[in-house]
Amino acid sequence: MIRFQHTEIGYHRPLLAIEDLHLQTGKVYALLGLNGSGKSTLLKTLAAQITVLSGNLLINDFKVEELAQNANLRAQQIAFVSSRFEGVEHLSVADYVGLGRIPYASIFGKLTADERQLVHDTLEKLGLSYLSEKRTLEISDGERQMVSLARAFVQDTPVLLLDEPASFLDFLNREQLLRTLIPWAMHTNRCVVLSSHDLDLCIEHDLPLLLLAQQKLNVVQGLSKRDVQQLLIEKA
Amino acid sequence: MRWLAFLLILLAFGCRPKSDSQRGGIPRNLCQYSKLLTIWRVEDGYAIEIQNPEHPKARFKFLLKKSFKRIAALSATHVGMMAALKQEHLLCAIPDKRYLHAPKVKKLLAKGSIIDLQSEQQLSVKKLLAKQTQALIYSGFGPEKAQIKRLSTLGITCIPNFEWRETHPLARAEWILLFGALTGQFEKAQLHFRKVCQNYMRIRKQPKLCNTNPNVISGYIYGDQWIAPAGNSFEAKLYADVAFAYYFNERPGTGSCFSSIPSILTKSASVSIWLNPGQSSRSALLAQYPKYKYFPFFEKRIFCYTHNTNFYWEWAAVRPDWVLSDLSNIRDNPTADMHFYKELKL
Amino acid sequence: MFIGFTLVLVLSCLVHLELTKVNVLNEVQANILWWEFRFPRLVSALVAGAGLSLSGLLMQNLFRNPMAGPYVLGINSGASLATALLMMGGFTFVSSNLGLVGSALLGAMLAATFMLFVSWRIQQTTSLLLVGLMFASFTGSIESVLQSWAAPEEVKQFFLWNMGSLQQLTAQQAPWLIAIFGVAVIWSLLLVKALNAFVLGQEQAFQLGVRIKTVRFSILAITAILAGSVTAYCGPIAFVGLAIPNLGRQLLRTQDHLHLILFCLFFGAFFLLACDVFSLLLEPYFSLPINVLTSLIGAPYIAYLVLRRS
Repeated sequence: MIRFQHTEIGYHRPLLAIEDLHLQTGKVYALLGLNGSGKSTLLKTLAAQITVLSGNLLINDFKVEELAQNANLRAQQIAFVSSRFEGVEHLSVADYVGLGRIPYASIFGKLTADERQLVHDTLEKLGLSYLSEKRTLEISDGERQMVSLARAFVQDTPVLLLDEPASFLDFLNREQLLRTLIPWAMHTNRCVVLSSHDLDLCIEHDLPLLLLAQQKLNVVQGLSKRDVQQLLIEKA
Repeated sequence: MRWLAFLLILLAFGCRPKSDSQRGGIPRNLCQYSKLLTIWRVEDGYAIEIQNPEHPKARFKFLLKKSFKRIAALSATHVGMMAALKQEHLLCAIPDKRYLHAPKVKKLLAKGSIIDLQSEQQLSVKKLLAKQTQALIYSGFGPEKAQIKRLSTLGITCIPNFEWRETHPLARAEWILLFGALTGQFEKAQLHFRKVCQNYMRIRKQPKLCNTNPNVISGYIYGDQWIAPAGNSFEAKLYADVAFAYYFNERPGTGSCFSSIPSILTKSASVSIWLNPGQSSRSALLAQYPKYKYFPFFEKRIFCYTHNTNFYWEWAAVRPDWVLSDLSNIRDNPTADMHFYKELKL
Repeated sequence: MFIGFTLVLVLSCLVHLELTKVNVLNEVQANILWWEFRFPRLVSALVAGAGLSLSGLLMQNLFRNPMAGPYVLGINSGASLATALLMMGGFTFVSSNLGLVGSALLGAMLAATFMLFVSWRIQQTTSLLLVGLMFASFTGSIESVLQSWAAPEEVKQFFLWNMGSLQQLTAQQAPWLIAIFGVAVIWSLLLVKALNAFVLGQEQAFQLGVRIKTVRFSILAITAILAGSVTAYCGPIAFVGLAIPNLGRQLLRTQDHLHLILFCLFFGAFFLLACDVFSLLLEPYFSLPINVLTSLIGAPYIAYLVLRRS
């Protein structure tokens, strides 16, 4: 689903080189790395906010440059959840989730009956129906993050990126987030990448880890916490 | 019996000053027309009282013993009064040289013996003190109040000049007596004023050539309104004295009056003369307000004091007879040379 | 609901027309009165109200700040400065409408761009508003400097323009104003989707498929066109652009910009028309410049919003 081919990534100057890597559908990848290792640059590159310096990066067989240019195509391929959604005055949860349909909507952004049903169903599946008519400013941080996830689900893209989605959540909400994401990725064949600092959580759920250290990206799975820590530090 | 004697004594004492004054004469008010200015001659100079038209109880009084040698003027009218007395050399500061006509003052300004205060709103105390100002004449619009108070405490005699609030043009002109007293030229001022009065009366009594009194409108559009002198203003008096039928005659007030633009537009068909539009040409009028062209009187005769605008501001108050003569010419003899007025070309 | 709004608007137009009616002598005069006075005044009120509200809505969207607006962010100041330069800088006496509108547009556009740059550096609401305030007082002082040089006639002209008025528009200018306004409205309706996404911030909007640069430029251009042309023809009118969009969000409780745009158009037009009706009713007693009325109503409402927020 996401394929790196001799890819050099960076913001003006190279920060990271990836020879050959393929991220598959149906999985939730956890992107781990120390501060300054280039996690957010990598994530922004995957989101087509910045382009690669050299080599190729294919997302669902589209070159990232093409996605950077073609706004609608981009939004139909990649959904992005930021670390925190602070809420917007007067914006209701249902409307917020509905914004996920913008890439498909007609000129005035009106949702069709089917789309409204999709919003409703998605909220229900996530157990968030009770929030539907609430304003996004009135609900808790945890609820807002789940609602953001719902919006991304509604956007219905093969790739979903989450930028440290757990950093403002307590452990219960973190658990809930992953318990929602993992089966969703598996059953609907999505490729999910989330950046995180919570090593315990990632290991506990046995996520494939993308370790970012010393300008390299390695995929590991099934290692112990100590080994992963060792890998992150040693290479630094 | 006892109280009778007391009464007699009281009477005797009570009568005493009266008989005294009969002998010496009550100090006579030397101003005939002005409602706001009073000047008495007293033993060693002049007693001057100036009434604030806004506050009946606020009177500015002072005793003038020695004439002033360095006078600051804050309005073009004051400069004109000084120029009429040929006492320009006693000025030390003038309001704004962009509005200045007086050639002698311009020369003194260039020499540096007179300074330009630039704006009445921002009186420079420093400049005034540097020029050793003894007296300051201001027009009393309001904003300068605090500064005036400060200047008074610094020893400068600050004299309000409410000439612009008078309702008779001759009363306005009479304020030259104040300037006469201040500069030690009182007799000259009296002479000047007497001449103006005589001339004014002569023109007023002149037979009118035109039998029907022309309908006259004055003023211009300011913002969203028409602004013009009200029915009891000195301008209205001038118009009445040349037998103009003035559009705003029935509007009460001694200052300005306002009228909505559509009402002027629809009720001015009979107006044949437009005075004081504030511009010197029709194209300038249209540039200022394009809709002027729809007013019926825009195509009629228009006169403005733009022969020399600054000259008008300086001299109109002190020479109402000239203004009256201009108006009389506008009425009966528009091709004559006029002091202030000029007809706007078609 | 919008049918109701239309009815109210039409009704207030009729009231306005009734109040500007004057008994006339003949057909010619009635024609002049209609085309040159009553109709342009009505158009001014409607377009200025709707246009300023819409430009306020767009500004608030772009800056993600409910306190943004053409007046507080110095867009009017930019237009005002450009007009001052034109009127008093000795470039030309204001005879050409195109010159006046063009310069006001340019000034508004430059000010809008400047404020956008500032807003990237400064995230805080208060700081941004302070910069807007400083910009306004800066342009104000340049205007004062110009005034001290300019001829008295030009100063008077500028002073009058600066008071703001709905009665200066001429019959020739009215179609221009309507056309410019129409273009701006259609253009902003094309942006509805993007505006809805912008509510979430520009990064999220990008991920939702919005062409950020295009939309950002469009918003600036529309705002400048609206605020610039209204300011050129009617002078600076305060608080409408700030207050009406806030009122819209508060009443409709939504961030759907299709509804908000329609609300701003209808209610903005209604608001300024109502202000003018009010001033017409007061006219026999005293005259209030339109700016005074809008500030009298707008300023307390904004103060209330700020207080409620904190």
